[in-house]
Amino acid sequence: MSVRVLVVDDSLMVRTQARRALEGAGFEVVEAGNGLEALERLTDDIACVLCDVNMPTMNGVEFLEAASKSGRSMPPVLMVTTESEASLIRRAKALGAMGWMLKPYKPESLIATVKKLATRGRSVPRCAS
Amino acid sequence: MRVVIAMPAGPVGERFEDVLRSRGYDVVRTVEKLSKTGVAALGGDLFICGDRRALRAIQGAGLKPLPHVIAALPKLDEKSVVAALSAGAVDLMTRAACVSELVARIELPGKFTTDSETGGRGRLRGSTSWDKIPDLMSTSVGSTLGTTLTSAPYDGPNPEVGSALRVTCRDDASTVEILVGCSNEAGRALVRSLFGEDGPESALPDCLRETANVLAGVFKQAVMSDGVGVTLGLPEDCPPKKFADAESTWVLEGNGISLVLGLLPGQGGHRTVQVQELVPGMVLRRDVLLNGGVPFVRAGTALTERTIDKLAGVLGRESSVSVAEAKLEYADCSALEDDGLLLFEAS
Repeated sequence: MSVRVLVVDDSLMVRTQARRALEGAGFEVVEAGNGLEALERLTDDIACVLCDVNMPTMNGVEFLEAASKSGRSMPPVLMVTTESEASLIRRAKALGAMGWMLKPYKPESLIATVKKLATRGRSVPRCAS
Repeated sequence: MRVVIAMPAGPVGERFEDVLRSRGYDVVRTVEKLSKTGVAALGGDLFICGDRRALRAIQGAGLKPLPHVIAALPKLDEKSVVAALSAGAVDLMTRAACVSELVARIELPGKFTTDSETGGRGRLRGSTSWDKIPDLMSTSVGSTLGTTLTSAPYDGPNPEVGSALRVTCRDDASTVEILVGCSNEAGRALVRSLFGEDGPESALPDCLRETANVLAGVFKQAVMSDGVGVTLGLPEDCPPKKFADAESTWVLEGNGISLVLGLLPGQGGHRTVQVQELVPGMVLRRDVLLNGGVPFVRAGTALTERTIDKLAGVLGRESSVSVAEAKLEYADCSALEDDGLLLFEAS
């Protein structure tokens, strides 16, 4: 069974590029256009989440907050974004993100990082309030 | 701000001139009888006039925008006030006005002047990263599109489709819009390169928005390394005519792709504050001169506690000066490695 990766980005272009790279490396890709859609598609068989930060409806940090508050176990989340601010990175880390990758990225770098993160397994709930 | 003092020769005009020069105003004093053509030749944002003839000359000169005109009268009796207002004065004072009243009246119109009227461009436009933008953009867009692009200045027709993303400076609210556009034909080539031969044409706006997003990220990193904190907006479609207003435009070309990029600075960036509101790090935008025009603190000086105390001693705490905001220290871009990746330890 292939490893499933949830790609969360409001840009079809970004999702397509990520899908091409990951499917080429044997991953199965599920797409979401914002944080709210990501919460709906975050099933137990997702091994890794790639999540943009600046998105309409629900941004990436809000997605982390909502997922954290839901109390469910989370797969490793890699923030993939053009943002590079330390305050945002710290906030994402505090909310359970496992890494931060700057766009534009090299496909081989994305694949290597996803492989590394997917082996970490799901985290225990941080907050159930 | 240029202040024209149009008063007969004498100690009053001389005193006004000294006071205003010492506060860094660009002062022109004329003791000649003012004519319409004389007013036009002098220019000026604010006039202090000693007689009705000068007031009428200003009114008849047809200056645009209309300058602020203060009548300096020997006395403020009803007849003199009505005559001065009728001749075009918008404010009045007696010739015996003390220094603080004179300065307050001079600064009054400035309090209602927005940055867009004063032409401020803000810290984003002042960033030294501005000149690096074409290279940064060609590298990042090329990497996004998986190809090599070269950049060159562009003065061709407006693109047919475009996207814009607003970057806002946190310190002074100045803005820059990053524009990305292309012709419909170049757009089809772009979509083909990203989605293959059967790529949907409807994907083009999305491609342009994401390109603007990547560019904004690169721009943000560059200006933050200069100590300018910014917030990124979300990319939106923009009308092609917006490119005509851009301050700088480039074209990125390579591998059949041709993208037009533009930077459209907004307004903002400096403000007038009282000396008592100054904080260390703020940067003076005009020279402060002592009586007789001797420089006291130069424009461009980053203020310290000591400089602020000196200014308060010379100008008074309630006088106003024009400043750019203090530069903030951001260590924010250092968190990421050169390859743009940071992995956290598993908890």
